[in-house]
Amino acid sequence: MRRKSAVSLSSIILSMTLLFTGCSSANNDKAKEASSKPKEIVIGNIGAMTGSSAVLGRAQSQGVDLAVKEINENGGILGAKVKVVNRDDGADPTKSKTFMEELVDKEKVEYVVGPTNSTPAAASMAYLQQNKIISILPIATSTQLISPNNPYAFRLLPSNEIQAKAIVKIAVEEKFKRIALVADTSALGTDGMSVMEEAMKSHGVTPAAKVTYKADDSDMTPVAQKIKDAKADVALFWTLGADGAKIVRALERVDYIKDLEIIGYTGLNMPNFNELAGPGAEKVNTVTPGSWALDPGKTELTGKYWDMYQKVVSEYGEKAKRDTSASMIASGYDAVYLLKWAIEKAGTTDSDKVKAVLETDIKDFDSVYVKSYAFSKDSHEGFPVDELFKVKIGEMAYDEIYKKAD
Amino acid sequence: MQEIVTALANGSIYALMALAIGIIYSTTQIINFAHGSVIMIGAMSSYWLLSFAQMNFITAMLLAVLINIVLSIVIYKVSVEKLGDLTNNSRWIVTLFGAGIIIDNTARILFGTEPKAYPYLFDGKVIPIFGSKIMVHEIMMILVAVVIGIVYQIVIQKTNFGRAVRAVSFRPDTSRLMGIRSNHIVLICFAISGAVAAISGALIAPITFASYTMTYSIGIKAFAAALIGGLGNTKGAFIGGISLGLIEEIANMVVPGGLKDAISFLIMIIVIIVLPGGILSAKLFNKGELNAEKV
Amino acid sequence: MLQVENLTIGYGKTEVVHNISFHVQKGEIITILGANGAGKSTILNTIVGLHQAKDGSIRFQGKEISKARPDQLVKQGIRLVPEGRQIFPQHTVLENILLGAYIEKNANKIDSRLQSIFERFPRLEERKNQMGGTLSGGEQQMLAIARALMTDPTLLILDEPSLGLAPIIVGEVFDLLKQISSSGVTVLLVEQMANSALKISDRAYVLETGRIVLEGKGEEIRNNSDIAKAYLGSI
Repeated sequence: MRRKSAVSLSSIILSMTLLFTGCSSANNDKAKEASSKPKEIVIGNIGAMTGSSAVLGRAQSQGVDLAVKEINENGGILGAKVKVVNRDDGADPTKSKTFMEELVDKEKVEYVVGPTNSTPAAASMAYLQQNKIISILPIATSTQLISPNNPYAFRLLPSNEIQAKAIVKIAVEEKFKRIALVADTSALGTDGMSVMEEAMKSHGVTPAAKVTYKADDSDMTPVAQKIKDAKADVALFWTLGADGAKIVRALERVDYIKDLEIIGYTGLNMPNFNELAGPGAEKVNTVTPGSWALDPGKTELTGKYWDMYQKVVSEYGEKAKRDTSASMIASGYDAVYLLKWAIEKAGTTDSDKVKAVLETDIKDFDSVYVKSYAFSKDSHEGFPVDELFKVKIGEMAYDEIYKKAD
Repeated sequence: MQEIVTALANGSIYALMALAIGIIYSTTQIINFAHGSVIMIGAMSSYWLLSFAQMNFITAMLLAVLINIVLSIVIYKVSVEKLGDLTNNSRWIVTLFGAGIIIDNTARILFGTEPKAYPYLFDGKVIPIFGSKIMVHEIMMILVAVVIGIVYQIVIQKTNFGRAVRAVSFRPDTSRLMGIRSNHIVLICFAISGAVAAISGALIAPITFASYTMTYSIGIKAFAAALIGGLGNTKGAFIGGISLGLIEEIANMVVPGGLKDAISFLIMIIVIIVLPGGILSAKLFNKGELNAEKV
Repeated sequence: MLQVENLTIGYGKTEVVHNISFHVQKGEIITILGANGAGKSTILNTIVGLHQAKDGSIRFQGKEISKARPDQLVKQGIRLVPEGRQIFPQHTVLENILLGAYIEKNANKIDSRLQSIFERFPRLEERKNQMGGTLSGGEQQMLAIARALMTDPTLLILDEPSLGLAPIIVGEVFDLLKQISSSGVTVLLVEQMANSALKISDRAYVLETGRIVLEGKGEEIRNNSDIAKAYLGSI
């Protein structure tokens, strides 16, 4: 018995030693490479290219491919060609983690774009941090992904936290008095409820009601009744589309929709929301990146965003054909250009130096997704709170671009 | 008032689902875990027939019923009949769960992931009763369920087929000695259950929206309703379904939304522990060896 | 009428009945005697199609029936009154009888047979709306037989009709079988109650652990107390 445990203990120590030496040698190699001029820069692109989240993974890939094509046609990064290694994790965290290890150990990627989904990202993040690999998250929105634990991760899309801050800010600025918070009891909803509450606190407002329900429940009348009982004038919806639509219908049943304005986070948005929610959809808004929303009365986006949109359409076709979101493609496209810009500005591929550039000089980067990313030493959340605009959920100008609310 | 109608309407759907589960249970002693998926196919197929083939409601419903009957027969042939004697094996748990998953995924591929707005009966007309807005659709949910329950009860009690169903559910081998082909009876029960599922689907889909996941949460509740009332028992299905509807509505008023199901299932567990044969076994049918009335 | 040849029956790997042969002629009453576990019920269940034989043949009116389903055999005129009566306790008496006529689609035939059943069993008519489960043992046995008669069988098979009944009732049951037999129905029964059964039997077979060890006229076997003691215990 004693002997056995001694043996196993020593074998653990041995394997740990191997692990650490393995790591450190990898870092040494990298440091050596970084100092000289790179011959090739390898970027891993990972996300759900198949399965129910495929539209996200494909949008990211389309953006990445488009950017890499342009960059290589124009001399690469620091004179080196960019090579992309694609992996499809099917939104499965276990697969994602395995692929990430393979990308780092075998494919020797130096930067990663993705994963697209939050759970795979959470599962594979640690390995990237251990290996000091900068990862740009163009799609995943779960709040926890960006934290001091993941110093090499940067996010482009508005995270749940940013969205919560934005919808609360809009409600407060529009002088609503009685704010009801609505969320389901899933992990997503609970996270949403707590970020909305925090945002409320920072504005010094208390919610008129906090209403929770079980996701996918068939009867939403109690939710509507609680909003009505609280005499809310605005309800902030942290709900998924179908549930949100059911609540809107229930609000109509209890005769309260006319007295209420609804602002939901982006998860509320779905293509046939109006049809599902019925006439009450009139009163429902969501938020969207301002640069990718049409100003009232306009038919085109402004300047470089419109150019990017045209580029997406000419490369991948209209929305009906490509199925992916143009603004998400822009985010994926930005991810690669951010790396190019930061590497060239740092003059090296060394991840700490590139990271420092992203944290300090981000104002100089010219984005096609937002006006300006908000990275700093303290926060790797790229999306600025005040670039989220309220839009009517039914007001799509093109298949995918909203009109800003008046 | 509105709460009561909602409770009764939801309860009626649970009852219809419990009834359909009971129809199969009574002759086979198995629980059709694929039932939720069959309901979903009923709703999805009638939705597509209504909106794309532009059929009128009755034709679409009849076709959906037919599709569901065929689907149920296939489920029986593939994942039940092949297993042989069901008394000594529980492989049906896996095959029926598996069938459900296969149906759900096929529906996802065929119909997409996006929920669809399924039309209410009578265009969602609302009538005011005692100052509350009551939907005609909800009243129809209750009526249709009650009518199906009564018709089924009459068939089971008064017809040759009904006698045979009860016989097979009690003594399958002896029934065969009467010249009853037990496996035909079981097959017909699967078909009836499929037809009832199509109707349940059309009644519930306007509320849950039509999607491949539409019965994920109510499906479990149907099993709960069936168990609360007593499995394989028409009256029990209705008592179980309606009580579950009422319990939920009361729970809704007292506890925060997310806890409602926990309360309902807590009550279900208590009922099952105290009255293993369901509420109906409490006083009426516990003479001697005959624990619960079959069918 | 019924010809059983070299019949071997088993459950899984265990053989219960080994290579037996016997026959029943039209109009006869035949008894198969044997102790518990001798394989009597297995043989009957195999004849009526509830169980499949491993080997051997069963012919009924010249046709091979060893692969037939129970419902096909009911149509051909073979009915089994199972051991323990197996009436449907939660069907009414009338429903039990009607279930017996399940394969008969002609309503007139059902009506007239029902009439003659009620003439023969007035007690069942009195209780026709009672649940089957509320009848006494003897009445249940009558019901089980009545149920089998609803298709006018040519061969009536009974599995231990005397089981669990009071002696006086047993007498009634066997009188009834005698009556049924004289109305032209061939009867095959298995019994442990050898004495009463042999009294009405034309011929009898003695079965021991799956083998037929003796065959003879009913009276002969009844009178041969040595044989009876050896194979059947007390009579």
